[in-house]
Amino acid sequence: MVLVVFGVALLVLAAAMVVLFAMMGELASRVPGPSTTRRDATVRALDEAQLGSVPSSWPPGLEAGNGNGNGNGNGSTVLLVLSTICATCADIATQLTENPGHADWGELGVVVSTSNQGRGNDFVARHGLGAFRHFVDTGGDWVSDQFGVRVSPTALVFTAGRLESAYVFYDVAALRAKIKKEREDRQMQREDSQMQKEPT
Amino acid sequence: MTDDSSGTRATRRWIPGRRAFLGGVGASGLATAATIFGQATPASALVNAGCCTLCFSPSHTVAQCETGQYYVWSCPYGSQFLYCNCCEHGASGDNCNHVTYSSYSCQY
Repeated sequence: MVLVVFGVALLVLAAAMVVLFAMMGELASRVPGPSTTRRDATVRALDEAQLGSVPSSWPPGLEAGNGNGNGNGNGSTVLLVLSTICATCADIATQLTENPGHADWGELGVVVSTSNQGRGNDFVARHGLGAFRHFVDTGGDWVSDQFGVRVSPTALVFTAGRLESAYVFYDVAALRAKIKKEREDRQMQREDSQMQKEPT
Repeated sequence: MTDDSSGTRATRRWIPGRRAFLGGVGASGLATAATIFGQATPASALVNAGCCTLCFSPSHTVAQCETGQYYVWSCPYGSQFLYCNCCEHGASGDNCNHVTYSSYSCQY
């Protein structure tokens, strides 16, 4: 009798294992492979941005350290301006957090322009932007008042707390490469001008 | 698996339909698990128009939208110098609850 019970239990267990492995196989076949999406790598200057602006105040959420150990936006900060009403912005938010994401970008902050706080909070939660310094800008008032920007997706690049450049972009990796190159070029120019000033 | 005399590898005999059967078993298991443990996400009824994601299908002009309480924002669309103005009219409440209508227009 005991042998029969054990036999039936073993049979059930074996069947469960088969179903489990079949489920894993089916699941594996449904998972898409690595993303092959080709995004427009264009990064172009945003003419309407008020370059040289120094914001009178930094909103809560953006005032924390910016990767250089400087608070309140006094260092090298890059703000990505996204909007809940812009279709491309959802893709930008996805790029920030997935495959492999840009969590290593210490100077990054995200401004979410939105018609209302609830929709902005939903956008932040849905795309996992809570991991970054972020600010939900109701009506887009702060970013438009401070920098004259009412377009998304855009990137505002600050040096020493001053808006140095502004870009429209579609690909975060391309944007990072552009900013890095721009900073390297500026550094080289500074070094060149210093060398010219030094007496021979 | 055995090697034949010509040096090429003989293929293993494949029972037709085994893969389909196991796939069916797996799909059934997944469907059952999803039914028991799955949780539906809230339905989204947002409308894409140009580069805008709007609460409603556009029904008014942007000029009409930009009266009273509204939210308007721009986005680049397709070619490099085409921009769309996306507008939602109404009081600012949670999500689309207080939006009365949406509109958009695109221009170079």
